[in-house]
Amino acid sequence: MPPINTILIATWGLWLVAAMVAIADPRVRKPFLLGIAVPGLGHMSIGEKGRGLLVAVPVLILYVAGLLLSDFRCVSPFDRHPLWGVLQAPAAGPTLLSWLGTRHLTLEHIGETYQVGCLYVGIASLLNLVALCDLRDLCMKVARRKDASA
Amino acid sequence: MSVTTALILFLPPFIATELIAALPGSKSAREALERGIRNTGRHLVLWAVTIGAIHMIAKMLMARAPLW
Repeated sequence: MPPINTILIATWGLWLVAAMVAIADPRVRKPFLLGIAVPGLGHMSIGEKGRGLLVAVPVLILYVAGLLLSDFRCVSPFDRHPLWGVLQAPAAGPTLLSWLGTRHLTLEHIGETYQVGCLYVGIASLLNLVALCDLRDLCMKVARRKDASA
Repeated sequence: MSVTTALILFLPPFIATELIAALPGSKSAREALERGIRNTGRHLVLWAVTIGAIHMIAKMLMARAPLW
């Protein structure tokens, strides 16, 4: 089995390459970056307010619930939880904000719902990845429609 | 953690996943929401039936030949 650091570097590399490929297309760049920063904002920026809300509400509720269940200690990509950090990367905005806000906290004891909290935040972030894929499809559709009408 | 607590904690990620998984392929947010709600109900029933069936089979097997 490969060492944990190899898996971490490979997965971070994969995320970076995927993000670079997505933002290489100027038609997708702005909504994609907005969607990573705030779940649902990318959809709203292309005029899909309903879809944006449908992404933002479940993802943010799940993310905040995860933080509460884990006593605000589950987001720590470079210190306590490098493996969870990989899963939390697709919601980079909330993850960065939570990490900066909670990096001074220490893990004295693991509560009953701690792992559930980690799982909630991980799922919320991965759901944002699904939303980003949907966003990319929508952007391409809009661009194709523009090309056809031009 | 009790089974009830575990089941309650299982629900929010389940519902969120169903709602967002309904987005790709839906023409509008309303359609995605309707599909998401419909799928949540359908899959919850499927889960309940599957887990109930496994529970019943396990009980029957245990009654015939206890494993522990």
